Amino acid sequence: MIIRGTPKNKNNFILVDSETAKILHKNGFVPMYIDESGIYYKKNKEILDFMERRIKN
Amino acid sequence: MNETIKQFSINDVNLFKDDDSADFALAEIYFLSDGNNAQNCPIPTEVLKRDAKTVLGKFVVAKFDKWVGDVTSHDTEEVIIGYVPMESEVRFVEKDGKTFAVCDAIISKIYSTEVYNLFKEENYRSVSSEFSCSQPNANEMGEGEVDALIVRGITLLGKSVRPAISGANMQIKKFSEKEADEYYLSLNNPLKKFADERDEKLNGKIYKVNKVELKDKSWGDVDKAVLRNKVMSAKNKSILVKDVYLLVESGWEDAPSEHLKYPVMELVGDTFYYNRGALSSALAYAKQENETTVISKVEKLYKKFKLNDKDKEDKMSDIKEKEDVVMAQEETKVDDKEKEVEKKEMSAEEEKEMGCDKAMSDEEESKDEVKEGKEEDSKEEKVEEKSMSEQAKEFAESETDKEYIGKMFSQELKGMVSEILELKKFQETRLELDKTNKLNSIMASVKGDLDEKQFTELQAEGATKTFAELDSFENKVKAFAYEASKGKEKQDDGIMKFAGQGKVQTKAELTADDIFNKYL
Repeated sequence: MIIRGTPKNKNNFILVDSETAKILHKNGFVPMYIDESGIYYKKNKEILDFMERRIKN
Repeated sequence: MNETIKQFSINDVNLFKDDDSADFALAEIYFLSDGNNAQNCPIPTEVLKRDAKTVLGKFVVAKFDKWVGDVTSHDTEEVIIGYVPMESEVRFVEKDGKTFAVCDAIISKIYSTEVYNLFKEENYRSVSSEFSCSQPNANEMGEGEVDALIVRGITLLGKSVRPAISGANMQIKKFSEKEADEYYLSLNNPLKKFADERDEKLNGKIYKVNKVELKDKSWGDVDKAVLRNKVMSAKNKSILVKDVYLLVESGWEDAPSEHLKYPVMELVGDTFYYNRGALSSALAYAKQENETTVISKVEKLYKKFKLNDKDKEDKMSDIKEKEDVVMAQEETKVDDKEKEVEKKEMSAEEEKEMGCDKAMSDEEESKDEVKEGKEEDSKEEKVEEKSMSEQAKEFAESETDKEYIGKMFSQELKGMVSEILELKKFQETRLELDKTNKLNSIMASVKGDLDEKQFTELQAEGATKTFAELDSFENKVKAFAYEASKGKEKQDDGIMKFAGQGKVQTKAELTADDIFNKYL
């Protein structure tokens, strides 16, 4: 499930495009919101670490 | 062609052998469940059951990635691959300890061929619902119980992503159009519902009414509650109550014991007769209650049955019967709550039958009255006859009568007939379209093997065949094509070949990490 709409506090979320969302979802991160701007994932240590690790590689 | 066959396992053969609809496939979707989910936005069961129906009329969407040959995840560029029909229904199924909302969806084979073919590879795909919701107690991360939701769509997910609700999935249930139709008819067919309802209503019994004979059985021995139950269980109860009871108040169907008063008939076999004691009892009680209408009715019956003199001599009997009536009224009050509401309806047969009964009764009454001797009596009878015919006329024009004939036959029957005609028209159109598609398919498969003349002749012949005859016609065409193509190299310009026959795009060898590195 995903909520159609924009989160109230965008600072708590990471907004990503379709391609990034695909990667994140494949790696077990579940999207929370979707609107016309993109897909929102909860911002937490786990997802930040994952993204940082991927960027370094 | 061989490549196409190779990609399926032998277990899938049954799945595709009846795949005869060019347009649609019917899918069953477990689209939402109660309880918690990966987003920590639990959906209470009552909210699910209340709001799941908002899925009706919404779309099934997906984003197909041709590089990996699979659909992906939620995406801003999802496209519609099917929809949930408005007329379908949402069901609730217990699965894995959760309550799932389940709906049917129609998937387009023509406009989402790639997605449809995914189900041929594996007929179980995860889905994820997209919905707007209200969460009054959500925290900063948007986590919190959902107290209302509106489903916006259902996204088909790729094999590599996991759904937020474990177990949410979509399966193609029926590939055959015929089977899909049957499946839908079994769920939603209004004709079937109508027939079932009619069947239920026809289970009652029709009782006759004899208005010319008077029975003398002690009225105190007649069980009024049983009598009322018999009347209420009858198919023709709407007419019976007016004969058996002298006062029928509105609301009698809901509370018969309160609104059916002054019973004057007893049941013998399957026929109701006037009862001597019941008439005296009703008269005495009506006089006490000053029910002038009832008194008038009883007096008419007295005259009809020549009971005036006897009545005067029989006051003691009246008192006894009066007590019986009072007791009966008390009994009926106690019994009231046991009765359930029944809708008043009546079939054509019973209407006719009752019409006949009434006509026969009137005829018999007339004959009976003619036989009577005295002049005074004759005058009274004439007055009574006139009165009775007026009553009959009023009865024929009453709302009840109009309701039976008007609503039952004019509306339900007309509606039914119109529905049947509509279905027939739809079936004919559908068969014609399918026939054309099938014929084109047959002819396309042999186009390279036949010369132009043969091809045109066979095509013209095929056009005259019915849909059922096309199978044998196909064999004939293939036999011709085989003969004609012996020793020749097959020519195929491909113009008439249908899409969907070819192999699905094979998966690219890019891994998730490759894509990640490429795009981030």
